[in-house]
Amino acid sequence: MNKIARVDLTKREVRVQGLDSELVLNYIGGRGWGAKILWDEVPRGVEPFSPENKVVIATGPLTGTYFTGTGKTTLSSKSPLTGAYGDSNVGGRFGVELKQAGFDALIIEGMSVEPVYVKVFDGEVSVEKADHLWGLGSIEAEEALKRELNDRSASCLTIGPAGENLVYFASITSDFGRQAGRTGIGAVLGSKKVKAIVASGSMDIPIYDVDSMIEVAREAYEYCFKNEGQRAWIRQGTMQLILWSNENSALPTRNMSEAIYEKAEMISGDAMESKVKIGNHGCFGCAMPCGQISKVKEGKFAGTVVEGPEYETAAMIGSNCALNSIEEVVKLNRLCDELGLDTISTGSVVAFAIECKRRGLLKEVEADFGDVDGIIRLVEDIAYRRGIGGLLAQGTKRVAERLGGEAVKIAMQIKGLEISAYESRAAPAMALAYGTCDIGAHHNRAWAITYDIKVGRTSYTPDKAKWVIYLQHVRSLFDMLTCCRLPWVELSLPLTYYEELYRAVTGIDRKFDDLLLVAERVYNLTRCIWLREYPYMDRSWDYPPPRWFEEGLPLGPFKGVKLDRESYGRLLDEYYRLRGWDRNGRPTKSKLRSLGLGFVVKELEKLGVDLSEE
Amino acid sequence: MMRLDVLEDKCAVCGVCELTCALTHFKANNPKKSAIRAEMWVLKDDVRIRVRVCRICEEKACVKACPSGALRFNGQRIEVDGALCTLCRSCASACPFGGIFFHKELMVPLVCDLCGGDPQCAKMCPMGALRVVKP
Repeated sequence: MNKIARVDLTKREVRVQGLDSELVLNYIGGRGWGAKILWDEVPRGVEPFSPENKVVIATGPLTGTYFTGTGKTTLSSKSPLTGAYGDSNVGGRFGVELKQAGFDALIIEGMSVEPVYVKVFDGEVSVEKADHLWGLGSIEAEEALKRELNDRSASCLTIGPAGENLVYFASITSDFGRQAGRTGIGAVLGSKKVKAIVASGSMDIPIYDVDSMIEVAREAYEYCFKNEGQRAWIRQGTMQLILWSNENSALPTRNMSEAIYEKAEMISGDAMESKVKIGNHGCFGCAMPCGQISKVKEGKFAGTVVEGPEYETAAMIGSNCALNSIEEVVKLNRLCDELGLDTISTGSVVAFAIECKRRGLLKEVEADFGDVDGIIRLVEDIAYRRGIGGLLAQGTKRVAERLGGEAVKIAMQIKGLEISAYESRAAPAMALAYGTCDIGAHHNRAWAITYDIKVGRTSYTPDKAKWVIYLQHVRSLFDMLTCCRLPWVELSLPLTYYEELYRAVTGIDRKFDDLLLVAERVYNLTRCIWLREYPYMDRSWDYPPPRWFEEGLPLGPFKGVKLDRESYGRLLDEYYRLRGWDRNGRPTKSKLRSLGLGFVVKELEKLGVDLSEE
Repeated sequence: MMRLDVLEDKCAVCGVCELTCALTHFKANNPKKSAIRAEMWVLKDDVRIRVRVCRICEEKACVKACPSGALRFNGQRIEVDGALCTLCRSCASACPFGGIFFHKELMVPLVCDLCGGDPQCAKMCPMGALRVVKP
């Protein structure tokens, strides 16, 4: 415990180091550790697929403890899609097994010449040959490993063919159906020839005050069990959001050209529950297991089983590619999982490719919206980089830059990361959240659309900037602690529980506001990773794609509504002001110093990155 | 006789039962020190979920299999006499439900004792997959 294992694939050497108090106190865990380690160890200019890039796999103080949603792990790396800071968290049980095997985090560095997997079993870390696993689907590989090691309780992170073939948005699968989907870390592992990381442990996770932990946890579990929402989340999970999003003109449809899908009911939570759902699969310790297990019962995809679908998948690969049924969504979901593709980016790339084809910009694309067979072929072509798939494997931004002109306007990405499943033309706070998310356009840092719905779909009031910042700190704090935010988001589990639990587990007495300060420190640090990489980065990087500013919504109660460039600019100014950043989104030196990031100022100055004093 | 009824098709493999069990019996934050385990198998076109725990079966296979008389059925549940146990694991092999476990730090087989009559796992299962059946 309290150890980090550094796995050098080039030298085939494992070094174990202690956790220093700087990491524990100032960066908490999870993405906090990821950001700090990448800042310290992956300098400017390192190519994402080079041996110098690293993957940090980090648990947090709450991982594996007795509380709802403690099955989380965060992976961080330099992202091939964005060339800057990327992270993605995954549920399931991997982090729990890693901790029980004696390690709080792994740093994967260097590069192997032959396929390998990393085995972490009760205090022992080794690099093993994986020739027999290379080429397998991510779920196939996981099952094969569990059987081979004869350990059902072992938990794996695996990549599929997409990761092996360096598809820029390759994901990582864990425990059948959980994915670290975003920012392409699956491809970084693929470049290092790491097919899998498997952990199994039997050690106690040390707890400072077990009795207090049990007391706090029991109370929180009770709170969740009594909540009506708990049953709804078990029944449909995030799939409840399909119809909600559709009613609120936020459901990405046909490459986000529309926000209302005429067939939303066919791919909804209700459709899932009545047609394909066969069970639930929760992450470790969960009080509201929202993971669904689905199986297609009839038709040409009969027998297809998947964990999911989740809202993001059903929206991005479903409505955004105009699929016709929940069965088609299940099929594509399983295909992406097995191939090891992020369903969010994949849905965006496929829809973008189809729209480009329709506009005569990409003639080689054969698929069309709603054409499930064509889309399946295209997805496979991307994973195996066949034909046009090879180009598309680089993500929308690079393809759009290659094609130029019109293509740039309809590439639904920010900073290289495809926008996840909230169409935000009539949601300025959500648009700002996407614009300022520190990994590129992802909803996880600030799910602000509910605030737009509450206070106004076309308003740009300064409170929206304030709210986005608040969410970016609270929500990313969960990825440091590392546990699931849904009990708080969806069941309103009071945040004070996390403060109490943190104290019981670590013995460190900290107020929630103090923990939030860490979240702010890390948000500034990740911003500076971007700046170190791209010294010329300015405010234009924080704007959503032209489509949202130039095309009004075609249908529904917000027909004609689009983002207003000037108002968005003012909202962004307010956001920067509240953050203590200059008008190009650069943290000021005084802000960084006040957050204990003086070392960042020094390094950026050394590299000639221009920061203002105040 | 009280027993634990398991509805495997409801189980979500979240492990809350495991951790509850280990904390209740050993104050250890360690699901591997529990007498109940939820497991998932991903098959080609299906998923199988299995909950491994003592069901207090008719045959009491573990009691019969123990060569040293360390296990006994007391009319309510299986009792373990740690002083007699030689860690041969015959009980675990014999259990038709795979419901007996060992941990390297604990010198006894882990068998469900129904928490002395108030099974905590059943209370904490978020899915309602564990039910206490009373006579």
